Amino acid sequence: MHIDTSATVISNKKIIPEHYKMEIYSPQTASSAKPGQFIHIKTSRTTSPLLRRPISIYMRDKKRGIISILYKTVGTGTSLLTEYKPEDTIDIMGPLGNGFPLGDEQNRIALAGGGVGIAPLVFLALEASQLKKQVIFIQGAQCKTTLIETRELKDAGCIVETATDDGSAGFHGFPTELLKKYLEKERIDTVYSCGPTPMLKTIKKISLENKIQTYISLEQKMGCGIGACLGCACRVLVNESQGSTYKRVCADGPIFPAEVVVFDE
Amino acid sequence: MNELSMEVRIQGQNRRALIMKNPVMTASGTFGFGKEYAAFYDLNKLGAIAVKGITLEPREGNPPPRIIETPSGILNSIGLQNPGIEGFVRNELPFLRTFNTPVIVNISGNTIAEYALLAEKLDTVEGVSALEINVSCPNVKEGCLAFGINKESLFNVVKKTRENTTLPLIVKLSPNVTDIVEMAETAEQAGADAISLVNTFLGTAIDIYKKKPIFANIVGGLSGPAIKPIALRMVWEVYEKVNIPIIGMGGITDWKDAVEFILAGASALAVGTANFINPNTPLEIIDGIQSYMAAEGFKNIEEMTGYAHPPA
Ligand SMILES: Cc1cc2nc3c(=O)[nH]c(=O)nc-3n(C[C@H](O)[C@H](O)[C@H](O)COP(=O)(O)OP(=O)(O)OC[C@H]3O[C@@H](n4cnc5c(N)ncnc54)[C@H](O)[C@@H]3O)c2cc1C
Ligand SMILES: Cc1cc2nc3c(=O)[nH]c(=O)nc-3n(C[C@H](O)[C@H](O)[C@H](O)COP(=O)(O)O)c2cc1C
Ligand code: FES
Repeated sequence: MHIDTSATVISNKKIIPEHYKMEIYSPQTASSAKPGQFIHIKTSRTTSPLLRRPISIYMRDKKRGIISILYKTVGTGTSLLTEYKPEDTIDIMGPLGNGFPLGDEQNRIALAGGGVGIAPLVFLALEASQLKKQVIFIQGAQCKTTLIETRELKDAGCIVETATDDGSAGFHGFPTELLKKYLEKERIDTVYSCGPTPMLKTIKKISLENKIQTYISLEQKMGCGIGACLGCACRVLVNESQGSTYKRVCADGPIFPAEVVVFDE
Repeated sequence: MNELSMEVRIQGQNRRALIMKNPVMTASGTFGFGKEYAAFYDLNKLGAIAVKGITLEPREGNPPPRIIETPSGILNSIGLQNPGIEGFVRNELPFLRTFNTPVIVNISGNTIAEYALLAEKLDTVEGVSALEINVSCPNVKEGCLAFGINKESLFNVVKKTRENTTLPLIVKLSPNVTDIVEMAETAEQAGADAISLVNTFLGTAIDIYKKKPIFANIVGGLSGPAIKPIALRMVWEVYEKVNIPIIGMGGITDWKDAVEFILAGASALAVGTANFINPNTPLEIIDGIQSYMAAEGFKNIEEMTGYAHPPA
């Protein structure tokens, strides 16, 4: 964990409506990042907005010292990010969080992402492919125009599937339904997922029904991003006798085994 | 350069004192128990560390969301999540003891008896240099209004805590009162050795689509740059009427803010919310104050404290 106030923007481009990809030169971050980790970005030089914004690491290039992020403009901070130009410095902290557990067995894993939630899964898929795992990557989007290009994944040997809510491309339905179909027809050792909360709830249900090891990435409003302020609480089961407790999404997560996450508070 | 001293002393009882190598500490609840920030810099450089508020029993805290951003500030509703005094002493204090930086334990209770018991238990614990009592907690026995917003309950809680500790006793006042000076005078009369000013200001926020408050607890505490002018005014007013040292806080983000607080009457200051944005803020402030002192010809903090007030 470190703070890099002199990271440099290499590129920052709109890839589909409301979604941008930014490449950032930060060798220290690039060399130590693990899939599922995030960076905490100071989007403004003023006190508006005051807090940093957590954004997952989407890809990294160790050799060139570059990480990329994929972000969706939803408010003040993410809109300010679109204004960064190549060669601008950007103040980032990271890599933060625990990251996805990824054993080194050559097994089969399925990744299901919804919307911008595919970001940490792309990094995971690329790393997993290097470990010679068979990766099934399921991308969910509202429609054809909000699908994100995943050529890198195909090049790396992943099986890439798409699901759209309106059926304008790929499977007609939610990515979770497509995941279920996969689980019915073949052996999958571990499932990884990131996306909107309703999707994660369904993923948890699928995981319990199929008794399959599943990891999900949670989101919460953050203060410090490093575990000190207790601002990013999520409810997690400890064990049968102790019941549940609050954990910190930023430091104990953002990745948790699906079966321990308590939704609906 | 040799003559320039940044040391700050807060005297307790029986010759116990809180001696800080510089006036910059971290504010309770914004610095955990130090571990996270130790990854960024050497905690020995700090004047003191005020740890997360401790209660007798562990507390799990409030349901999320716990943080809402506001213009130049944040509202928090953490709900005093903490491991309880035993968990703190067993699991958190040993790490803090490895540093040569005084540890201030911030304590909270539901009743006066709980404050007294916490003070008694911590009085002789190795590695504790001072107590800071948080009087912004609800007084469960008397209508759940915060101890710190009523003169009488404030007097009683400070007096009882005083009777149970010889450690330097800091009273952290709630700013949610009509007359902060009256509260500070009450704390002084009840035996406080210093006053910290300020805790967070009560505020709220509404989810306009769900059409209800965002916090389960409805209200939260406002901190950050948004509150700085009010906090600074309170330090100014209290300095005019009270003789014990003041630890100033509320929106301090850089060394200039810190210098303002000292000139207004603070002997020391705490950095809170700014740690979240830039973990190195306390160190940058220490350096900044030192350069300012050298440039402006101040030899020590005492000389600078309250300098902006007209001569008596
Ligand atoms: C670990 C982690 C990883 C993440 N990774 C990514 C990623 O890779 N890519 C990505 O795009 N995002 C990611 N996110 C989400 C991202 O952090 C948020 O989208 C971002 O912080 C939003 O900041 P903002 O300033 O743009 O939005 P804000 O201005 O903070 O607003 C956020 C939303 O809240 C709404 N809102 C604000 N006030 C109210 C109110 N009073 N009532 C109702 N609604 C309100 C706004 O309209 C807006 O839709 C991640 C989050 C976490 C925790
Ligand atoms: C997330 C958070 C948690 C806090 N927890 C405590 C606490 O446990 N006890 C306490 O006395 N003050 C607590 N405070 C108040 C701060 O110590 C400080 O008084 C206040 O935030 C004003 O300073 P700032 O504007 O620099 O943050 C907390 C503040 C924040 C933001
Ligand atoms: S954001 Fe501060 S503990 Fe997670």
